[in-house]
Amino acid sequence: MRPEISEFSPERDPALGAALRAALDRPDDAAFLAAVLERARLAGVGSSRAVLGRPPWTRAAVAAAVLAALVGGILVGTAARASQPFDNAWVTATTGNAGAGALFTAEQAPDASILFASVAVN
Amino acid sequence: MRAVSPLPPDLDGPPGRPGEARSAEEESALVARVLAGDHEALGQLVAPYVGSLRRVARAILGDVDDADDAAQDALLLALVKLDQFDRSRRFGPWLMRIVTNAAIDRRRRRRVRVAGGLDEEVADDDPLPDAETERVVLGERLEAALGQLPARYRTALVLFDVEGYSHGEIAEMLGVAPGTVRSAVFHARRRLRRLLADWRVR
Repeated sequence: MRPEISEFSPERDPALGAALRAALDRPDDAAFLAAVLERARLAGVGSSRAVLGRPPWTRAAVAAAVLAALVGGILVGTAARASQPFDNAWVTATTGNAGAGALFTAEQAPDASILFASVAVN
Repeated sequence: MRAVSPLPPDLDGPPGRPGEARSAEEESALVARVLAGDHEALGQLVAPYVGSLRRVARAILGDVDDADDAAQDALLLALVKLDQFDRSRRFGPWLMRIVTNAAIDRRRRRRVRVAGGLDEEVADDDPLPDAETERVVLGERLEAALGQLPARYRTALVLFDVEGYSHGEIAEMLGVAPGTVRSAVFHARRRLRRLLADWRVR
């Protein structure tokens, strides 16, 4: 018996393939798979535990992302609050009326007296 | 969570390309079930590929135990990364790429123990008792010869001639051009022919 190796052929060599397959085959694929599945079960693959079972750098990356989101939220909130006095000043300067500034930049509906004062001035 | 699921029946399927027995849609559905936490589907998904993965890892690493460790680690890695799998494609080449890369990486990091001394074992002229012994000896000769090939040659050869993947698929798995795969298969066969030149028909 000798495998016929057609080295120039672009097609598969079934004889060589079968001989190599027989040489490389390992017994007990079932036991091997059972071991893999048991390790997967213990690692929680396919469940939310899988994320925690990933390498430490993955958890660090998740923690960094959460921290970045928190810092980003704080910065955006601070910027929004800081911009309000400027807008108020701009409206007041443009209209020449402090009541208008309070009216247009207020987060809540203005007090009626401010509105009346603004009308009375104009 | 439940204990290890019953093993699927298709572990010892017929020779040929693994996973071909089921359609891409069936495979995609299995992946979805695994991602949803179905542990039984996990076994069904990977079972047809186990033999193939172990053979390829063995071809790359030489040592059988090292190969099984590499195949097992790579299988787990693939299952953890399953959410990254593009379900419009076939599962087999994706899985094989992970196992191949893991085995190659492991080989780089570890000193590989390649089976040796087989040439001396078969060099004597004692008559072989039967065809079964001859088959076993040929297998050992082949494995030893395979161990003498560069890793890229034997990987390409086994993926092509044993596992039935195309040059293009192997190229994608190994991150090389299809022409490089064709060349590797050619050189692997030529070297095997040379290494087995003294094999006599009895």
